[in-house]
Amino acid sequence: MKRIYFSLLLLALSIAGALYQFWYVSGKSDEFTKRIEEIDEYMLKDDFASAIDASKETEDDWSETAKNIDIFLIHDYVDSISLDIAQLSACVENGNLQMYFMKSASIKKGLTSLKESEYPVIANII
Amino acid sequence: MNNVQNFAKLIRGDIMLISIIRTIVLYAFVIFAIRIMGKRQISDMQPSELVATLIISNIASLPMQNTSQPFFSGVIPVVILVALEIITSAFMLKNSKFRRLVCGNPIVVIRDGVILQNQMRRLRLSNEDLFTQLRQQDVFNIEDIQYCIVETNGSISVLKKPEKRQPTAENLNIQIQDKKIQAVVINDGEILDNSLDLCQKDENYIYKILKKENKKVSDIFIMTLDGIGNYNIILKDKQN
Repeated sequence: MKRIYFSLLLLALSIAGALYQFWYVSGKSDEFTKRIEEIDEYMLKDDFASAIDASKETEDDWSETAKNIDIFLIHDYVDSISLDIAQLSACVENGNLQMYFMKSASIKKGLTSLKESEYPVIANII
Repeated sequence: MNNVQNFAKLIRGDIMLISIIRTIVLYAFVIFAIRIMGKRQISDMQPSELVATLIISNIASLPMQNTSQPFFSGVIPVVILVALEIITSAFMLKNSKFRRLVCGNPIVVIRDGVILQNQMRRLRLSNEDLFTQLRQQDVFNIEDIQYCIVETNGSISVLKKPEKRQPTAENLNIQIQDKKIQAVVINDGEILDNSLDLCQKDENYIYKILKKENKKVSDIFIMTLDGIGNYNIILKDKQN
């Protein structure tokens, strides 16, 4: 009987862990997507100073967040987003709008994919 | 260029270190998981247990060799499998229909010395496999067999015809002294309490024997004891 309770406890802990991971990754993905969109707004308004500050702050915060997300997801997915965010800052500093919006689109797509790949839907399960 | 090369070496070193640590942790974890699932030899496992064991070993190895995979991608599936296996086993105990669904039924393949060919076909069991297993049970003539049953874990059980069975003491009206169980009570200088319980003795009994033999526990390689007090002592090599 003890083993059954223990196994039910293990199942409950695993489900709780999975829900936490889903909530954390989704939350961070949404948060950083919003921040990239804010930087997009600054760039469209030619407010490069605010864009540089925001991109630096985003880059620093992402490097902290990436360490936590690496606990849950394959590192390659997170690394590619990290690289794009680093390059985004460079584009903002250089005032290279074309490259900037390319990287911005890539990052937003990567973040959305990060979130949506965790949904327990048939397509992801298969 | 030198810095890049050094950095690359450092990364490779870190990856190896991560791999080593993960391997040690996952090794201990898988042993713990198998221990939780219960004691079975591979030959005695039911299909569901064998499947769980094979999958666990494969899954646990993934984060060992691929450090870009999260550590928990090896742990969580193993935890789920262990939990499911325990719950499945518990349910099989309570529900015979479920047990039949998961494990199947034992099947008679030989009755009164005659091979039941339709059952052999149903099991996809070849004659060679059957005879191999019979020989491992010291049966060399199928005419000696009353029943041969293929169990749900794939092993076979054989009941010989009465005239071919080994007679027991009861058949021969012979009285045999009941020595009860013999167990190893000291192993490599350590007293085994579980074995003492089996023999229904305690440590004081052991110490009395050792005092009589003028030996210490640390001198003993193996000491066996049965339920009626017969013992056998093998000393460690340097004492011999």
